[in-house]
Amino acid sequence: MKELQEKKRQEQILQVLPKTIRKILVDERIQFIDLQEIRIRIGQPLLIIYQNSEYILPSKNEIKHIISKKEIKETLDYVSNYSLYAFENEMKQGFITIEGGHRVGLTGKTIIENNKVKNIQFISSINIRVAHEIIGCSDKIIPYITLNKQICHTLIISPPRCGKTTLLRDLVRQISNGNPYVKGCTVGVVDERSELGGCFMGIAQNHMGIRTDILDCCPKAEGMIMLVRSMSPEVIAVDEIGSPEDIHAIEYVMHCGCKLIASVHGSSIEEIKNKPVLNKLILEKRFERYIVLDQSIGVGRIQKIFNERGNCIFQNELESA
Amino acid sequence: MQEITYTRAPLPELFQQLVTYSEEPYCKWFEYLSSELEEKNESSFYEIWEKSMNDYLNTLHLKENHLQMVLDFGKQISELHFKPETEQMSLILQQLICQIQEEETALKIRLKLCNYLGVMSGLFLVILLF
Repeated sequence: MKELQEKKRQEQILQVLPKTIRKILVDERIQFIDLQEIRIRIGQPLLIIYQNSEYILPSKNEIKHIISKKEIKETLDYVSNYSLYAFENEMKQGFITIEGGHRVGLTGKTIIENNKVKNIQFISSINIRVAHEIIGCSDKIIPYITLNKQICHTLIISPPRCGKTTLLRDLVRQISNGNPYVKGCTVGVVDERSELGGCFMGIAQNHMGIRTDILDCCPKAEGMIMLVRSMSPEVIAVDEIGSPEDIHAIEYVMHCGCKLIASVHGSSIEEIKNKPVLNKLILEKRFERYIVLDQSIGVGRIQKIFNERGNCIFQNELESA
Repeated sequence: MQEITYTRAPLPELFQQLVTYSEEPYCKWFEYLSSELEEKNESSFYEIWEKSMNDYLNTLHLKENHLQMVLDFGKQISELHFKPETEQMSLILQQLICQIQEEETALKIRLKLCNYLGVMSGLFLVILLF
């Protein structure tokens, strides 16, 4: 099974790379399951992040491979299936999601229209971030965010790169499939940046559960209301809330009887309380559970879980020590 | 063009759709284009386009300038990233349609001329024989 996954991942990544880079990676004999990033920049050496360390390729040669303009163009052609026009909306956000849920980040010259990024041209750097979903990473917290086999309105508070999206994704999978703590529910996911489902051509590439409906690349506020009206979800999940429109949509969703699981950037409840838009939701005790993640005790580690009154109901052993 | 500007369908999908609507040799040409683009083995769209034209459209015996027009069209597709380029492509398509219309008009005139020449030659032969 692991071998099959490795082979599939290898195929998905190699097929978007130019022949020259494909050869270098194959010659390196790396395990694609441990590959985190491939960085391609015009005129710069080929870099990879592998097993949490950076390598300049070919690692065994003294003369390193320098990326040419043609290789960038070739990569773009493969990533977009020779159809960059089809990814204009994704490019506005700076990345394209490819088969397997892997994310291809792009930088170059931005085209601005009405003070907003309309597109990117003259692309000079590409960063391929290999998708790594961690099945079962929410096992520990499920008992704390459920009551009578029902999920509570939950807000995940986390600084960037602490694994909030990974945690939210696994929560969606578990709620959708059902487990001893929660009965399987219809889950609607508004995946504005294709981070949760990693959708490719509308199909989720990550495990999102059997009762999950995903609105891919859809603005959160609009998407939440659309889902309530069209798919009658029991639970709605959204990543990185924060705008006034999001809050209005959250209130609408909660009034409609749907449970909400959301994530937000922050390091504590106090910090969220200081955000004018989110403060209202906390004071009104809209959320029943707050999960706080913290990088100081490791990526994806839960620091504390609070209830609606702000009482701590779970504290990480490392933290309490 | 609508498929490109409105549904944003990628090129391999578009060519695959065209296979069902077109006749020989175009259907085989579109099928080849679609599969080659999916394979991702050639470095650029234009190379695939050029090779496919040589392999599949040679039976049409197109004139040099017409071949160049189709080649240019391929180049335009390969650089199709943004809205101004789609507008430019519409222009090229318009030019191609005008060229086809001109050729069709010329063909009609030539056919008429051939018919007249045939009748005249026949009459001339009859006069010569009698």
